[in-house]
Amino acid sequence: MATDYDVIIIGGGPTGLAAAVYTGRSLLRTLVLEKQAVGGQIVLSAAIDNYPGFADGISGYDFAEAFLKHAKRFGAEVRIGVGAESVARNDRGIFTVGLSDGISVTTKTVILAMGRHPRRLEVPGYDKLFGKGVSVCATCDGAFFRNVPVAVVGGGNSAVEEGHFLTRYASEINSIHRRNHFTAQKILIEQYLHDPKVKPVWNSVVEEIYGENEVDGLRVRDLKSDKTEDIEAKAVFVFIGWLPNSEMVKHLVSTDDEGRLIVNDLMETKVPGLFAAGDLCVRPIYQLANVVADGVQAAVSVERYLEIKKHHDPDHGY
Amino acid sequence: MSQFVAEVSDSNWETEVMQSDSPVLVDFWAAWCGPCRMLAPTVEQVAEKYHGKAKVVKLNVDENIEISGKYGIRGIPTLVLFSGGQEVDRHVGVPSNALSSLSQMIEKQLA
Repeated sequence: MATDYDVIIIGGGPTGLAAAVYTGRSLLRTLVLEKQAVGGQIVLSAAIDNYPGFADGISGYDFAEAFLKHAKRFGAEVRIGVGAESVARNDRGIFTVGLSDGISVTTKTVILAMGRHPRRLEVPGYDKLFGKGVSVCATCDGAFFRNVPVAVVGGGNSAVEEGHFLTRYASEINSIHRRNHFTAQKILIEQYLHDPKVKPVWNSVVEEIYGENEVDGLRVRDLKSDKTEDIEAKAVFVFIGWLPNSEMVKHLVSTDDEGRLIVNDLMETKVPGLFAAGDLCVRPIYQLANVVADGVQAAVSVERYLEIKKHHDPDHGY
Repeated sequence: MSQFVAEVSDSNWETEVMQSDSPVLVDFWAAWCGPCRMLAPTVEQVAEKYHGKAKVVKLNVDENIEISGKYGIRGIPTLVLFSGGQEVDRHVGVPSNALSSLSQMIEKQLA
């Protein structure tokens, strides 16, 4: 049977859009679905300083815009604000993707590139005060907290980078981490700790975020002494890791304990025609450059898969 | 420039939002907010879809601190739906399945 598309790419972040550039150039009928905002997590980044070739850095927004433009240039159809709700494969190897606007479309292949979302802090006050001082995006919300103390929770690249960004606005940054050192890239840690506004709070975890209509502060517990301390803060920025957006496809593919998809070097899942790439998957590192490369690999694998199918099965509408 | 989404401000808030006969979805945004700018095309689509039934406007939080402060905007994008001069619904951040979730927000008020 004829399908609506040759490939549907679920997720319009750097991985999905890189894949779309390549499938577009291979003249495959390509649909990209982005349920939130094009660029995914990268648009939260004020400045990308580690993508080779951009010596002066580039904002996450500009980066995502450039990727979108590039994907569209080679013919990809990009639907923004529309997500996939289901993926099913029939016994002839045709996929049906149910969209959030109620319609279903068919395709010969699917690339899963849904990425991941920030892990929430499971403490009282997080949900109640989200958007009222509790935030997962310093570039979005930092400017609301000028000349007031804030807190940052976490110790990886995101925490340290976003914390450093907050030094532009906040009077003081209490940087809370459960270990006695940050795990971010060395250059980021150096910049961060060098700023006099930054006050690390080592070996500590957050117990509660309090305030009525806005954040007033948070209670932290020192893991060594077991003592609790109240810290004044008008905002709490939380960067404690990521969770894969894999719920929709867990029943189809193999995942690890954290729900990340297991793929091989060709970005194949165990389901023929179903590929996955980028942050959603188990990867050795999670950097922009390698998740972009993942998208490229997935696209090339799609093309090869379709060529082989066409050769062996010319009557299947391939 | 946006065709269906008008820019509102502290000065015309009363007439454009509070006194509006139809429900008004307000997109609180700023130029430095990447997710806000990425959400803009979806907000535009929603505005076009409900043109004549509901209003969709945007308010720049940098330039309009009075209204942003009054409604306790501490994170953007924040989308607030007003009906009859009252806040009836709010979403902080880019909504998932943004097109249908914003549509549903408006549909509930039109029903």
